Amino acid sequence: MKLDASKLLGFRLIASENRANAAASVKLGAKQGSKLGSKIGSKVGTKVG
Amino acid sequence: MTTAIPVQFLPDGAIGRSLDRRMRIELANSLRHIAKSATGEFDLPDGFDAAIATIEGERPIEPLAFAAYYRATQALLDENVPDGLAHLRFLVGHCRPFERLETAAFDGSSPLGWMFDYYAACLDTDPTMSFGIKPAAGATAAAGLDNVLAGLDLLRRGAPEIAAEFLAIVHQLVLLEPTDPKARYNFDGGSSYQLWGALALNVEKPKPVVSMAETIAHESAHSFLFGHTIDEALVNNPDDELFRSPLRPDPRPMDGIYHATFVTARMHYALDRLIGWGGLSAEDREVAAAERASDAQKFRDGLAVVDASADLSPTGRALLRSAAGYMAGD
Repeated sequence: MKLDASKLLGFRLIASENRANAAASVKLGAKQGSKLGSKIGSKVGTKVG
Repeated sequence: MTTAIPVQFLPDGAIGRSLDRRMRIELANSLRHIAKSATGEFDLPDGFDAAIATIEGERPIEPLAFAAYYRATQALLDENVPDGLAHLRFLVGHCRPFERLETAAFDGSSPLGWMFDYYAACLDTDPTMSFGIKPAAGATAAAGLDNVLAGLDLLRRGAPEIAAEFLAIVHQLVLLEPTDPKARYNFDGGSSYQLWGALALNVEKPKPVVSMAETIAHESAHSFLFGHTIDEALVNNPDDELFRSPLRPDPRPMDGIYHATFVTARMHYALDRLIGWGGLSAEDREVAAAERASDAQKFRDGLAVVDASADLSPTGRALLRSAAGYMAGD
C-alpha cells in the first residue's frame, strides 16, 4: 500500500527531513519505513529525567 | 496544515485544550489517510469510523490509541499488513473517551501491560545507564497517587494556569518505581510522543508537596512541547550529535537539551508562582526559592548550549524565545 508520510502524524516529522520524498507521496519500503518509525522514537520520542 | 495555536511559553489551559484537540484531529486525519490508502488492499476493522469519531470528539482519549496508531503505521510502512491490522483492531477496541484524569492500572491481564512494556522500552534504552522500571503497586501506588494529587492541588491553588494546562494535556498517570532502588541513576518521570496524554512518574518515595508540584510542571512541559511538534521538529540537529545537558549527567542530543532548557524555565515559573502566591509555609518557601535559583542557573546553562549549537525550527525558536523572555523578566 502507498502511504504518504507527510500526511501521517509523527512520521511527517522525519519525512520532512527529506522533503522531496514527503511531497512525492513515495511508496515507503520496509527499510525506509523502519527508519521513520525508529527515528520518531529517537528524535522526539521519549523524555525522561 | 493545522489550526494556528498561540506559540507561547506561559501555561494556559485553553491552549492546552487546543493542543490536545489538534493532536486528536491529526490522529483522526492520519487514520483517514490510512483508510484511503487501504482501499482495494485490505478491509479495515469493524468500528474504524466510530473510533475516528471518538478521537475527534469533545473528550480526551485513551493514550494507547496513539501508541497503537504508531505501531500500526510502522507495520504498514514495513508492508506487514497482518501486524498493521492487528494494531488497528487494538486501536478500535481500546479507543475510549476519558472523563477525568485516570491512573493506569497494571494487573497483568490488562492491555495496559502493553503500555507498560512500551514505556519500559522507551524509558530504559541505554544499557550503560539503566533506569529499570516497574509498575508501582499496592501501598506505594496509593501513596504515590496521593502525593501526585496533592502536588496538583497545590498548583491548582497557587498556579492554576499550570494545573489547567496539565489537566488539558495529561489524562493518564502511569505510576512507576525503580526495580533497583540502589540503582546508580534514578528518574522523576517520563513521557513519550507516541503516548500522547500519558505521563509516567516515579512514585517510589513521596516527595514534599512543593517538589511534586515542580515535578508535575517539569514533566507536563515535555508533553506541552510534544503538543507543538506537529508539522516540524523543534530541533533539526542530527540525533548523533551529543551535548552537555543542564539536567542529566549523560550527554544528550540537542532535542533533549532543548527540552531540558525549556522545562527548567517552566519549573522556575511554577516555583515563582507558588512563592508569589503566598500560601507556602516558610520552610516550603525556602526550599522553593533555592530550587528556583537552581532552575535559573540550569536554564542559563542550557540556553548557552542551545545558542551555541542548535539548529532550531521556526516553532522551536519561537517557543524558546518566549521562554527566554520570561526568564529575562520580559
